[in-house]
Amino acid sequence: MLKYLARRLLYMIPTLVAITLLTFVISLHTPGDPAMLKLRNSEASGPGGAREFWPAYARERAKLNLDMPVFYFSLSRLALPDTFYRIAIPAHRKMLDNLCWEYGNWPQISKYYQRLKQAWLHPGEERDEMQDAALYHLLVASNARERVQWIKKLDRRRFGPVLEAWAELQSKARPWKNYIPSIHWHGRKNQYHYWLFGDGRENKGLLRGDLGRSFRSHRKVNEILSSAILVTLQISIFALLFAFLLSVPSGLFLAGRAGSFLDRSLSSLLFALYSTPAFWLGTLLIVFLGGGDFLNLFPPFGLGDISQRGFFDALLFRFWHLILPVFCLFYPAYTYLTRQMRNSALEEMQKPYVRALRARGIPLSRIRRKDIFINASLPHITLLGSFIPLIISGSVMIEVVFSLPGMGKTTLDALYARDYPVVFGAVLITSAFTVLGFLLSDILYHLADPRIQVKKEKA
Amino acid sequence: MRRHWPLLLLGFYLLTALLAPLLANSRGWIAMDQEGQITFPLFQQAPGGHPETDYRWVIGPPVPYLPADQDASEVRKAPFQSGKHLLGTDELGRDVLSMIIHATRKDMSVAFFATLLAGFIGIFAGMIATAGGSGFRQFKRIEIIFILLFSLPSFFYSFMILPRLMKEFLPFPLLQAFLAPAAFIGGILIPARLLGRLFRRGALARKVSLSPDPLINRLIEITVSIPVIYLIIMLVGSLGGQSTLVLILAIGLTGWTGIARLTRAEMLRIREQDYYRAAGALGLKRWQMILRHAVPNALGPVLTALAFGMANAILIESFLSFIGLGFPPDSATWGSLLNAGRQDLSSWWLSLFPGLAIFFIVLALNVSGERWRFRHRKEKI
Repeated sequence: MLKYLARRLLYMIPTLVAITLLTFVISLHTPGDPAMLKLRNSEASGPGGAREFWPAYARERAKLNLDMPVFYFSLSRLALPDTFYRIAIPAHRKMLDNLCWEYGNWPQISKYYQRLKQAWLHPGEERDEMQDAALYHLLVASNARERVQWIKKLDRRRFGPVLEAWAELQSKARPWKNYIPSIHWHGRKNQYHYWLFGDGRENKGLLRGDLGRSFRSHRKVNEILSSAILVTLQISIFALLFAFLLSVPSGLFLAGRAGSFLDRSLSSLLFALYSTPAFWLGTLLIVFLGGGDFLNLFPPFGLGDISQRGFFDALLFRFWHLILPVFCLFYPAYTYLTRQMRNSALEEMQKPYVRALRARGIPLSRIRRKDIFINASLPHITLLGSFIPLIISGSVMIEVVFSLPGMGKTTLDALYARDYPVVFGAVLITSAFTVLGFLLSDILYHLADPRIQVKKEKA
Repeated sequence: MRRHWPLLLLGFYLLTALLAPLLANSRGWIAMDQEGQITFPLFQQAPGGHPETDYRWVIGPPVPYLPADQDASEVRKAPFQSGKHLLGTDELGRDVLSMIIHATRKDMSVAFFATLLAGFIGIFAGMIATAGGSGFRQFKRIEIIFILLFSLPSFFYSFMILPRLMKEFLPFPLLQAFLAPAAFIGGILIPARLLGRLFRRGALARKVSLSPDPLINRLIEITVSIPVIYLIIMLVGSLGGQSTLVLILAIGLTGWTGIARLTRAEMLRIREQDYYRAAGALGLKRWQMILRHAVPNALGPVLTALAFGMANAILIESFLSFIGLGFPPDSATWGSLLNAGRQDLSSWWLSLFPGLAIFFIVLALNVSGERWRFRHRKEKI
C-alpha cells in the first residue's frame, strides 16, 4: 500500500511538470502582449506615434523580463539567429522573420536592419515625411511587395548605407537555410527558469513558493490568490459539504421507494434540475429575487462589506449575500450525487447477499443500515476526492454571475488582461489539487474496499 | 408518443436549426404583387433587407423578423407588451424569438461537431491504447533508436515548415490542424519501421514491447488535470478568433478524455470475453474481430457518453458566449442573449427564454443518454 502511494506520488511529479509546461506554452500563444496592454496603447500606427512608442515598449518589456528567451533551448531554422528573441518590437520580428524566409542570410539581414534602425533613430536635420514613412514601413513591412515599393522611395543620397546593405542582402541570398533545423541553447537565463527558480532579485521562484507579481497591479500573486481562495472557500465548502451530506439520505430514501410515484416524480424533478445550467438559474434568481423589478430578497452582487459591522451582524450579512451563490453551486452537485447514491443503493439491493439476509429473516431496515448504506457509500467517498479541486478552483460560472472575487473570477479577469503570473499561479494550484484529489480518491477507494487490488499497468 | 418525447424534442431542435431562415425572416414565402403575379420573395430575392411593402397579400414566416433587424421604436419591449414581438426585444429592438431561432443553428452545430470531434479522438485514443498484438506494439530495438533520432526533425518539419507550405497551397485551417500531427507521427514511425527492416538479425533486431497505453494514460491525466474552463479559454484565445471552427476545436479537444477512458475500458473488457476469443480462434483477423465484435459492444456506453457530451458541449459553449469568449457578444446566440439579460436586469425575458432553449435541449440530451445507458447495459453478441 505504501509502495503504491509512493509510486503514485512519484508519478505526480512528471504530470505536474508537464502541466506547467503546457500552461506555459499555451499562454504564450494567446494573443495580446502584457507589455502592450500595460502601456494601454495598441501598436501606434504610423511613423509619428511609433517614435515615442517603441522605446517605451522595449523598456516595459525588459522590466517584465520578457526580453529573454522562453525556454532553455529553442528549435528553429538555420536562417534565424539564436538571439532572435532580443528584437524588442513584435512588428520588427515579423518583418525580419519574413526577410529570413525570403533570403535566409542573417548576417546580411542584420546589417541591413542595423543600418535601417540607425537611419530611423537619427534622421538628420532634414525631416522629410515621405522618407520617414518609407523608413517606418520598411521596419514593419511583412511582405515583399511592400518592401520593394518603399525601398524605391528611399532617398539615395541620404540613406546610401541602407540601400547598400539591401543590395548585399539580395545578392547573397541563401533561402535554403530555412529548411534546416537548428537548436539553440540558451542556458539558464530564460523565462521558464526565472519563473521556476527566481530571478535573483526579489522573486524567489516557484519552487520556493513564490508565484511572482501580477503584471497589472504589481501585487504579489501569492497574496492575490490567497485572498481569492478565501472567498472561494467560503462558498464552495458550504455548498459541497451540504451537497455531499444531504445527498446520502436523499439517495437512500429514493432507492428505498424505487419505482413508486414519489420516487419517479422526485427523480424526474432532480433530473430536470440537473439539466438547468447553473449560470442561467443564477441569473434568473438574480433577476427575480435579487435587485431586479420583482422581489428584492437578496443582494445581486458582491460579498458585502462587513468591516463596519459587529461579529454576528457581519456573519448574518455575509450569509445573506452568499445564499444564492451557494445554492447555485450546491444544486448541481446535490442532484448528481443523489442520483449516484440512488443508483448504487439500488444496485446493492439487487445483490445476492441482501436476499440471503432477508431470507434469514433480518428486517430490511437493519440490512439497510449496516450493509447497503456502507457498500453503496463507497463510490460516494471516492467522488469526494474528485470534488476537492472544485473546492479550490471555485466555479467560474457562479463567481462571474454573482460578481464574487474568488479564484474563478480572478483567474478569468487575469486571463482577459494577459496577466500571466496570476493565470499560471491559479492554474498550477488548481491542477496540483486536482492531481492530489485523484490520488486521494484512489486511496480512499482502496481503504474502503480491501478487495480491490492495486491495478498494475500491464504492458 | 409521450414516451419518445426526448427524441421528438431533439428532432424539433434539429428542424428549427435547419429551417431557421425559413422560420424567422423578414421576407415572405409567397406573395402576390400589385399586378397579380405570384412571387416567392424569400427564395427569389437576396436574403435580408427590408421587405418589399407593395404586395397585395403576403404569406410570410411565422416570425417576420431577422435576428439582425433593429427596430428603434420597439426597444426593450416585454413579451406580449408589443403586439409584434412575441418574446420581446432587446436594447436594440431586435426580436428575441427570431434571435433564439437563428441561434439554434449556431449552438447546435458547435455542440454537435465538437462532440463528434471529441468522439473521434476519444475512440481513436482508446483503441490505440489497447492495441495489442505483435504487429503494433512490438518494436525492434533499432527502431526505437530511429524513433528517438527522427522525432526532432519530424517535429521541425511538420510543425514549422509544413504549416508555412500549407498556408500557400492548402489554406484550409482544419486540414492544417489535422495534417501536421499526422505528418509528425507518420514522419517518425514510417522511416523508423522502414529502416528497421534492414536489420534482420543481431542484437539490434530484437523486439521490445512498447505499449502506447501508459503514454495515452498520462496524456489523459494531464488533460483532465487542467481545469477545463481555463484550458478552453486559453485555447480559444490562442487559436485566434471567435468563430464556429475555433469553438468546435476548443471544446472537442478538451472533451475527448472521458470517451477515451470509456473506450479503453470497454476494449480491455471485451478482449477477455469468450465470444471475442472464439472469433480469434476461428481464424478471424484482428481487424475483423474488432469490427464485428468489439465495436458493436463497446459502442453502447460510448453513445451514451456522446449524448451527455453533447449536452455538456452546449453548456460550455453557451457559458463561453455568456462571458464573451465564445461567439461575439453581439451575435445572437443563447449565451450572448443571457449575457445581455444579465447586463439589463429588468429585461427578464432576455434571461428567461434563451435559457429555456438551453434547458430543453440539455434535458432532452440527458434523458436520451440516460435511457440509452439503461437500454444497453446488457451485452450483445
